[in-house]
This record gives sequence, C-alpha cells and structure tokens, in this order.
Amino acid sequence: MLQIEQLVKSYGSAFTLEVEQLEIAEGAITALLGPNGSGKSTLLSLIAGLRPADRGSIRMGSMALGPGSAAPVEWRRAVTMITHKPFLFQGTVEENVGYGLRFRGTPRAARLDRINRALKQAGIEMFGRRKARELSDGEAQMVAVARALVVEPRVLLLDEPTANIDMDNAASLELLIASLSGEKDLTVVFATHNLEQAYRLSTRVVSIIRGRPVPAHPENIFRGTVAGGRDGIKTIALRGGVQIEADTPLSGSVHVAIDPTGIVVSKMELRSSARNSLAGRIVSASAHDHRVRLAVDAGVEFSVLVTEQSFREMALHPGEIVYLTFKSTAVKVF
Amino acid sequence: MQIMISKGVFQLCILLCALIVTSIGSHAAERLKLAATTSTVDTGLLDSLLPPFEKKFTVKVDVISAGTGKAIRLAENGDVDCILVHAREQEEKFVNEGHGVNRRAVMCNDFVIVGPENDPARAAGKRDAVSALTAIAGAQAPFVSRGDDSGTHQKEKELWKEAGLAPGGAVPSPPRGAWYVETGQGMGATLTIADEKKAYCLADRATYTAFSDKVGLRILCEGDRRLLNQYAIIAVSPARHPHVNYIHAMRLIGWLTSPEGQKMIGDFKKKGFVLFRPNAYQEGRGIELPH
Amino acid sequence: MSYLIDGFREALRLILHLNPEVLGISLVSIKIAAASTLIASALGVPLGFSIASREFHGKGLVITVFNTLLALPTVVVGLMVYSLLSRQGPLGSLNLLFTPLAMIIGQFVLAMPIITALSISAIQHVDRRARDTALTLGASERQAARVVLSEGRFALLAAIIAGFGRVFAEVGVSMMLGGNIRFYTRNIPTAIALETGRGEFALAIALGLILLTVAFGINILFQCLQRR
Repeated sequence: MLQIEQLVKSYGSAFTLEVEQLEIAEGAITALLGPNGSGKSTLLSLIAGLRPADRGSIRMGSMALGPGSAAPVEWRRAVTMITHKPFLFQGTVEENVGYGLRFRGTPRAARLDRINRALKQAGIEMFGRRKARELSDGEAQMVAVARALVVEPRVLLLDEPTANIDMDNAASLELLIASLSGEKDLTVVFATHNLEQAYRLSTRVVSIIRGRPVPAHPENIFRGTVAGGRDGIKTIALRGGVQIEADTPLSGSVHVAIDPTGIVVSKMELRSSARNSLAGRIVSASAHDHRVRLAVDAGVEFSVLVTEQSFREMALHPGEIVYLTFKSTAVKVF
Repeated sequence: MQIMISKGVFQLCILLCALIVTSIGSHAAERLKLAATTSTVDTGLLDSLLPPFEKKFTVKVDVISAGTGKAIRLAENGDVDCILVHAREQEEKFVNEGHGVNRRAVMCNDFVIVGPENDPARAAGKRDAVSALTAIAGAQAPFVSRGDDSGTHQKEKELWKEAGLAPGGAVPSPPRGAWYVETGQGMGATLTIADEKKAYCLADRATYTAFSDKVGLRILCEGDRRLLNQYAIIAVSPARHPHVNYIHAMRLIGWLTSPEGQKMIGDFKKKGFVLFRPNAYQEGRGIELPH
Repeated sequence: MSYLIDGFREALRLILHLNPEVLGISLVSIKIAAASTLIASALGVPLGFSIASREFHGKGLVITVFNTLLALPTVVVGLMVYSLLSRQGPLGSLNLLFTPLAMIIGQFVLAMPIITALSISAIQHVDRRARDTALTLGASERQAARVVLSEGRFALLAAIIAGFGRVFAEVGVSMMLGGNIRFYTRNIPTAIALETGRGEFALAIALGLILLTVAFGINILFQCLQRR
C-alpha cells in the first residue's frame, strides 16, 4: 500500500539512504531492523513527509510524495510518526493528546470524547490532568502513542519506540502495538535494532544496513573481509577468527547473511559437499512458532532453527557443542 | 486552551494600542507650541497664567522650557509657534531677519547678583553691577553662569564685556578661568548648582525669589539700571513657516498684553513678592529700582 | 540630611494621596511606553520568529546586527530621530516634534532591537522537535508556526517586558523628542530631571520611587518568565 521507488536521501558525503524498491503492506505491521545509523530513522522521516527526498517517490493510494518539496498537509494527516524521544507540548496530558485533533478542526465535544478513548487505549486514563512534562520517559511515550492514535492515521510510524523507556512501559507499549495488527485501516511500520522485538511484533521484517534494505533474511548478518579465493568461491574472514566460504564476485569489506533455515545442526561433524562446517556451543534456545531457535556461539553468534522434534530427539541443550553445516550458496554476500 | 488565551490577550493589546494612539493623536488639532524662557516656567508664572487663556480660546498650550537662544533657534526652525524671551538684541535680529512678527513687550523685572552668605569677593553693597563682577573676577571667586545662550546669559556677557573682563571681539563672550563655570541649564537648576558650589550667580529676581527658601544664596547687588530685564513675546512668521498656529499665537500675544492678562501678571505673587511687572505699553519702564 | 528625610516623607504623602501631578506624569509615562512597546512587539516578535525559523545567507550577520543595536545609546537615538522630525528635517512637515507620537517613535527605535534580539533567542531555544511533532500530528505550516510561538511564549513575553523596561526608564529620547511638556510629554524620567533641577525634591523622590518600583517589578517579572 506504501510504495517506495528509487528513493535517495544523502547527508553530505557521510551517509546515503538508497531504497530501490520497497512495498509496505496495508493493514500489516512491518519492522525495519538495523543497527544505529543504518538509515531506519531517515527512511521513517521520509515516509512521514517531514523531510524531502533528494530523488525518488513514495506513493500511498492516490497521494504521492516527490523529491525536493515538502509533503502536503493531507499526507501528514494520514501519516503520523512517534520518535524514540517524544516531545510533549507544554500543558496537560489531555491537551497534548488533543493537539492533532485541534489541527484538524475537530469540535470540542468530539475531541474530548476521542481523547478519553485514546487515553484508555494507551492505558493512561488516570494521567489526563497531569502536566505532561512531569511524567517519566515511559509514561511520556504512552502519551505520545495516545496522541498519535487519537487522530486515526492511515499509517503509524514508530522509531525505536521502546528504546528509552522502562521495562514496564515497554511491555505495555509492545502489547499495544501488537494489538494494532488486524486493524485493516491501519498500517504500522516500526524501526528497531532488536531482532527479537522485530519478530515478536511484526508480520514482516525488513533489514536496513548502511542505508539500503538487505535482500536477505535478516538474521546471521555479519561483517567480514574477503580474505582470498579464486573466481567464484571466496573465503571471508569474520570476527572471532571465523572463516566461511561463499560464492560471490565481491571483494574487500562486505556483509554476509546466512539463512538460519539453511544451516544443519549436528552433534558430530558432518562430512558433506557443504563448504562450511563450524563448531560452536549452544548459548540459548527459545521456542518460536513450533520451531526452536538456537543461538550458537561459533566465534560469532549464529541463529539456527530446528524443529521441536529434532530439538527433543537430539537433546540440544544450552552448553552442548554442536556442528553447523551450510553450503556456500546459503551465504548471501552484499 | 493556551492558544485561545494568547489570542484573546493579543486582541486586547491591539485594542489598547489603538485606544492609546487615538487618545494621544486627538490632541493634535488645537495646540499652540510656545517656547518660553526658563524663568517664566520655573517660577510657576505660566502655570497660573495659561489655564484661563486655554479655557477662553479652547486651545492647549505646549510650553517648552528653553533659554532665549534655544527658543529663538526652535522658532527659526519652525518647531514652535511663538516664543516668550528676554534678550532685546537677539529679538530684534530675529524679527529683522523675517523669522518673527508682531513683537510685543509683556512684562519686566530685574536681575540681581546673588552669592554666598560670607561674600568672599566683597561684592556686596555695590550698586554698580560692573564693579561687583570686577570684584568677583579679581578674587577669582567661583561664579556659575547659565552658559546656555539665554537672555540671562546674554545680559551677563554684556556686563562682563563692559567690565573689560571678557576676551575681545564684537560678540560678547564670557571670561576664562577655572573659577567660571557654565551649566548650560535653566535658571532654577543653575541657582541650585551655584548654591551647591557656594558661588556667585546672575539671576532674574523672580526665579531667585521663588527659590530663595531652597538656596542659601543672598542678594548682593541690585538696582543697577543695567540689570533691567524686559520680556517680550514674538510670533513665528507664517510667511516663513506656513504650518505654524499663527491664529492662536496672535491670540496669546493679544491676551498677554490685554488689560486682563496684564492684571494677572501683576497679581502673580510668590512669597508676597510680585515677580513680574506688566509693562506692555511702557517698554523699558514700569519698574522702580529697587523693589 | 533632614531635608532628604522630609522629602521622602512628603513623597510618600504625595503618592498615597494620589497627587494629580504625580498621577498625570505617571499616566503619560505608562501610555507612551506601552504604545511604543506594543508597536515594537507587533513588529519585533514576528521578525524575530522569521529570522530564527529560517536558514538563509547572512543569518548570523543579521543576528549579530540586532544584538549590536542593543547597545545604541539613547541620546544618539534621540539625536537621530530629532533630526528627522525637526521642521528642517525630512519628516518635518508631519509636525511631530514635541508630541507624544515623537516620543513613541523614539522609544520604538530603542525597544525594537531588544524585542527582536530576545525574540530570536526565544524561538531558537524552543525545542527543534516541537515543529516536527506538530507537523507529523497534521499541522499546516501556519499551525506549526503558532505551536512554536506558543511553546516559546514565556520567553517572548520576557522579550516584550524587557523592551518596556528599557523605554519606561530612559530620559534622553523622551526629553529631546518630547520637550518635557506638562501633562503631555512630561513622563517620569524627564519630570525627575526637571524637578531635581528645580529643587522640588519631594516630587522628584515620589516619582523616583514609582520608577524604581516599576523598574524592579519588571526585572523580577522578566526573570520569572525566563525561567519557565
């Protein structure tokens, strides 16, 4: 429903965001995953219409944002963004939540009614009369969320919403976000650097690294250097002394991503045609959708998926040594 | 809520502003600008003299207190409508050069030389103002002058010239020396400064009388014919400055020289003394020296 | 020394009995200072807002100029405006010299740089996120600008009050342009100068007390507002 094409935004020579093609599904919750400085915030502020892109376009239904110019107010009334450090206006919580409605000219009675409902939805109805700036960071973030929800946007953007707040409020906020799935008129996009959170709350995870969406499953992403190799199969050195082989024309400093579903876990070393075989220790295990995700430390931490059955049969407990085997073609290099 | 409050406050301010500006502007129509020498202001003469005039002719007189020299310059500029001054030579030059019309004598009094109680220069008792000043200069006793080109200042410089104590030249100028101080201010302020410095000073009797309880100076020389002080009123020429309020200037001149106005001048007393002798029809006369 | 004490006592009596001279002079002071401050604010606050909100070539220079104008000596302003308004000057035909309007003009020139410079500072101190937050909540550009103004309203009010404080207590411009005409252009500072020279200490002290109260009161108000 949100279509992004050929989008480019540069900040001097230091950083450039480049999104060739990205579609955000309507009514879904999409997560933008990436480390700090990867461009998630830039992308969100472009979608929010707060900054103009240098090139490219963002389309939503019948509206479109082009490069260079500021977004029209209709766009900004359909798309609302919450940042990781929310800014609250002077005044009470109720007044803050009501700002968006006042901009739209909503009459007073309707305003008050909607404000109350939004406060309830965010679980902060008892804060209505409090001075907004006296609240803690976590409470302030919930006010910001109520403030955004009350205007009933078509697109809700959240930039690292739980980054700066206490655990209780973070949990409440995550519950709230999760509850928004299925509201067919609301598209949610949130940015995070937390893989777990991305998976927990969203239906789709898009990785952004160094200003570009990653064309791979967003797990097992490591930085490395091409150490050698002939045409085709190259050896790439990762941190922790790990070396893997991958099929790539690239050289120099690269990123690799290894699909967890392409990694075979065994208790003993396998002899196979697969070029990569690493030994590691299981660090943790977590259940995930009838699968078990294992974190294995093999010099760098790998994320692998096994079925519940395999997990039980092989007695894969934390602390066990296992072998990870995967083909060079399972490694995406970019 | 706060946005509503600030809007209301803003509108209130605009209203206030408009009210203030219009209330100030509405006075523009019937106003007469009079530059009057400081002795007529500081003594309170004009404060008592003008209200009946203002009432009778429905006009407001703006009195700008200025020494004769400054008053004449304002008039030459067209910044005032008429002047009330007391320096005969300057007045005649003003009229002859076409800046002013209809000069009329109004009232007179005399100057006195005042000084500290102990009179270090022994200027007392000298009926001759010139010899008194000579004594003061000889003793290098502190002397405070108006120094502002006022009528009093003009008179003072003429006396110094006659005493031969001023540097030469056609235009009278003041003597030089550390004992001689020029304040550049009005009569009242100058008397206060002279009192502070325990210095001698040439003052008009009217202002001195009005201030006599505030300063510790006493009259040391009076009665010399030279010390006659004649006041006149002149209207600024409408030919020179078409915008001036000529009608009301003429009315003021007429009123001050009318029997009614002259009587009021003669009735004006401070501490039992008549400060200004009306002499509209007897210029140069009308006072018997001493009072 | 006793005359000072007597003068003080008499001054308090004049104030408490609402002496008409004291009242008249105070009213002139308030009317003229209020008018010039209002006009300077009407121009200075929006100007300060525009300068602070936009990026443009020479922005730093403009801000420096306004900050430097804060140091304009009042008598120089009086001189400049006098030469404009005098009959011989370019605006002479307006016949403004020695009227309250002339004083308002002079005081406006004094207050404008302060109000503008402090408004620039006030807006610059508003959190940058305020505008973006308003925009993302669906504000039009105009609405977002009003939000920024509202967020900075205490500092802006402080700017206006600082302007008022400066012109209320100054004597140079008022004297030169107003002519110190009784009940017309004689305000508190010029009256104090006059009455002191005349030796009327009671009246001067009474006016001085009023002036002090207003000046200190304004300063305290300014500091309170700046802190919010």
